[in-house]
Amino acid sequence: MKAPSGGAAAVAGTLTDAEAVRGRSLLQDSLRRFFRNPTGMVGLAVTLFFIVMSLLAPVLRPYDATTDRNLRLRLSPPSWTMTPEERTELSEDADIDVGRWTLPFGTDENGRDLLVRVWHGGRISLRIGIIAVAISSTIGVLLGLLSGYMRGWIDLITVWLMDILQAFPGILLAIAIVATLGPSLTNALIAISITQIPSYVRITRSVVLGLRESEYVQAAKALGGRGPRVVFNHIFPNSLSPIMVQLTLSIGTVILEVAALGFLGLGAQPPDPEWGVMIRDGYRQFLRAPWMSIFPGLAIFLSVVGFNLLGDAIRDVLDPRLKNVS
Amino acid sequence: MRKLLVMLTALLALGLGGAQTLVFGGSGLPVSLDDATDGNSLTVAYQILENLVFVEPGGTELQPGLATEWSSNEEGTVWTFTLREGVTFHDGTPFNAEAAKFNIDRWNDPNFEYGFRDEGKTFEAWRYVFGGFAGDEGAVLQEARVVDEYTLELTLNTPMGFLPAAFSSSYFGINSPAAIREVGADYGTPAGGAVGTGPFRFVEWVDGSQVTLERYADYWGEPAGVERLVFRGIEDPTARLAELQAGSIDIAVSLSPDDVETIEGDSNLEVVTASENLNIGYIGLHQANTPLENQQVRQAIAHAVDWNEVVGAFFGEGAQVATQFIPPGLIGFRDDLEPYAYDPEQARELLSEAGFADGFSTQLWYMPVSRPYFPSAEPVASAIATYLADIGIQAELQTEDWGTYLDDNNTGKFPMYMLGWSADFADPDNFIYTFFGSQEGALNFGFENEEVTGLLDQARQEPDEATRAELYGQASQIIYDQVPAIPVAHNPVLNAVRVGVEGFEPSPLGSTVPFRTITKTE
Repeated sequence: MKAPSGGAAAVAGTLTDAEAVRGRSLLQDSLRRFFRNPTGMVGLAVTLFFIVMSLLAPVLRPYDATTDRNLRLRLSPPSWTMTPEERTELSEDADIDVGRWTLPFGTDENGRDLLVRVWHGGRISLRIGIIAVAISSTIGVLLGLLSGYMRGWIDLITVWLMDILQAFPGILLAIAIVATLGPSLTNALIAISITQIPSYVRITRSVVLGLRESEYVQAAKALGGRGPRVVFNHIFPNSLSPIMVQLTLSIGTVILEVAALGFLGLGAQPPDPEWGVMIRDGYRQFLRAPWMSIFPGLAIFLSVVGFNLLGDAIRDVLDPRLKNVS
Repeated sequence: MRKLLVMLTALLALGLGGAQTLVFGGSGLPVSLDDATDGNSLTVAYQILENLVFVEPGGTELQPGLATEWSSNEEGTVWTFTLREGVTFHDGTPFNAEAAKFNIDRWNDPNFEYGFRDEGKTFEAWRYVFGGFAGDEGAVLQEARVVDEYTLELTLNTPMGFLPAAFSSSYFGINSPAAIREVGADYGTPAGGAVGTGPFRFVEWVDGSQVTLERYADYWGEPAGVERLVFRGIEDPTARLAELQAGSIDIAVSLSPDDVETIEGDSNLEVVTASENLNIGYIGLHQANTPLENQQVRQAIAHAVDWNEVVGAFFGEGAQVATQFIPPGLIGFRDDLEPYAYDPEQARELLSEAGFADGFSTQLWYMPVSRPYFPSAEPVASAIATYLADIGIQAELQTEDWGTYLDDNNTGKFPMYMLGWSADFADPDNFIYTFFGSQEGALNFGFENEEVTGLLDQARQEPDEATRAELYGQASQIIYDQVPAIPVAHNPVLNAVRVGVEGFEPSPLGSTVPFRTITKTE
C-alpha cells in the first residue's frame, strides 16, 4: 500500500480537477497522463525506434552474417574518427570507397561493418525479448490465476516451486539450464523464459488473492458462476495492469540476460550478430579496438533503458493509487 | 619512533631486493607436473626436472644434459648414455644410472610398480614418441640396463636415429625415484609437487591460482638468475598483455598478433620471438563424417578458402602459409609444395563432380582458447565459414570446453575442426608421424593410408638423412594430394617481457625454455 494518504490528499485538494476527470473514459485518462510524463515519452521513443529499425532492417540493409567478411578492412576504427589520409589509405587497401560516414561504428576482426551488425543484432534481442516474455507470462499468469484462486495444495506446490526458482539469481539459473541443454540461442530463450516465470506467478497470485474475496467476485460466484468463468471473466481483466507493467519491464531484463548468455558463449553463437556475442568478440581486442564492444554495449544500454522507462511510465499511469499524482 | 621507521624501511628494502621474484604469465596453469602433455604444464616442469639431453636455449641443437655423452652401435639399436656425476635431486637423492632407468621403466613398462596407471597416469607422450609401451607391437625400446653407476644402455627393437632428440623433449624430465616412491599417485599434483635436479625447486602450487618455485642452491651448474619463479595462468591474451603493462607479471607469452603495435608503443615492454616457427595450425577434415570421406569434397574445401588472405589477416608478421605437416627448418620439408590455390570455381566443380553441386551442411569446430599455432580461433573459423558459404557449404560454428575439445577432436565427433601442434623435439617424426604414423592413436583424421604409414615407418628407422628426407617428401606429397587435413600456418609466437628482464629465450620447441638464465633488474 504505497502512499494512500498522499493520493487521498491530492484528490481532496483539487476538487475541480476531480470534476474534470469525471467526464473522461479510463483509457483517455490513462493516455493523457502517459503523454504528460516526460520519461515515459523518452522510453516510448527509444522503444519505438528500436522496434521500427529492427522491423525495417531486412528492407533497408539486408544482411547475411554467414557470408560477411572483408579481411582487408579488419579492425578499422569508426570512419569519422579517421583523418582523410587514413581513409584514403584504407580505401586503397580494401578496394572500397571509405568516406567519413561509411563505417560509423568501425569494423571487427573479420572486417564486418559494426553498424550493420549492431542494427541486425537488435532484431535478435527484440525477437528473443518478445518470445521469452510471451512464454513466461503465459505460463506465469496461468499458474498465478490457478494457485491464487484454487488455494490449497495447488497453491502450496506452486509457491514452493517458485520459491525454489527464485532462490537462484536469475542469470545463474539461466546459465545452469543452458549448461545442461547445450549452448544455443533457442536454449538461451528457454532458460530465460523459465527464469522469468516466478515474477508473473507472484504478481498474478497476489492480485487474485485480493480479488477473490472482493464483493463482485463473491457476487459472480453467488450467481452460480463456475471457476474458470469467474477467473477469466472477472478476476483476470482486473489483474491486467500490474501484469502489463511487468511485461514491459521484463523485456528489458530479457535483453540483458540474452546478451549476458551470449557474452559467456552460452547463448547465440558466432557469426550471429547478437550484442552479447559482439561484446565478447570485442573483449578479445579491448586494447586495440574498443569500438568493437562500445557500440553493442551502447545498444544494450539504450534498449534496456528504453523498455524500463516505458515500463515505469505504464506503471505510473495504470496504478490507481498514483492517480493524479503528477 | 624514528628507529622503528628506519627499521621498517630497511626491512622493506631487504624484502624487495632480497627475494627477487620473476612472474610468468602463461595461458593457463599446469595440469600436472608429471605425465603432462600440455605446454603450460611442461613449461613449469622443465624448470624443476632436467632431461638426459638438453636443447640449446632459443634453438634446436642438442647439448649435454644429465647425460654428458651418448653414442649408438652401427645399426642404431644399442645406445649408451654416459651420465653426469655429482648431481643430486632436490630431496638429496643422488642422480645415477639407477635413477634414470627408474624413470624410463616407469614411462615404458605398463606394469611398473610406481607408474600408478590405475590411478589415472597414462604416459601418453612416451607411447607416441617411442611407438608404444613395452610389449606393444611397434614399441621401440626393448630394455634399459644399468652398466655401472654412471652408464646407461638402451637396447631398441628397431633403430631410431633421433633417440637423443626424443629424450630432449620436455616430456622426459628425470624425476627423483625416492620422491615418486614416497608421494605415490599424487606425485605431480598440487599436493605432491615434483622433485628433480633442475635449477629451481618446487615450493608451492595453489590450485587455481599460481605455482611457486625457488632457486635450488646446490644446483650442479650455474645457479639461476632469480630467486623465485611464480607461474600464473591468464587465459585471455589481451588480459595477459594488460597485466604485463601494469607490471603485475614480468613475462607474457602467446600474445595476440593484433596487439603488436600496443607492445611496441609501450616503452616498458620488449617483444621477444623465437627464431623459428616449429608449429603447425591445421583444419582437420575427419572422415568419419559424410561427405568428408570424399576426396573431391576435401579438395573443394581446400580450394574454397584464400589461405594467403586468412594467414595474412589473423597471424603474426612472419607467419608462413603451411603446405605440409612438417614445418620449414626440419629435414624432409618440401619447399616446392604450394599452398592450395584460392579458386572458388574449381572448388564448385569439384563439389559437383562429387555429387554435391548444391553444397551440404557440416560443422566447423573452433578452439575456445588461443594457442601458439592459432593465436585467435573464432574469427579465423568465422572467416573460413564465409568462404565455404561462397561455394554452398554451410559450416555451423561450434566449440566446447578446452579439456573436452582435446578429448573429442580425433574421435570423429567434429567433422571439421581447428587444432595444431607445437614441436616437442626438432625432428619431422614429431610432426608427421604423430598424425599419420602406424601407431595406435595416431591423430590421422580417419585417414588410413598404408603407403603413408609404410613410408613413415621406414623413415623413422632410416639412418641416412638424405634418404629420410626423400621418404618424408613422398609421404607429404600423398597427404597434400588427398587432403586428410588442411595445413594452415606456421606461426611466430609473440611474447613480451618488461624492460629489465634479460635472458628469456623462447624456444622454437615451445615449452623447452630454461628460466635459469633469466635475470631481472628493477
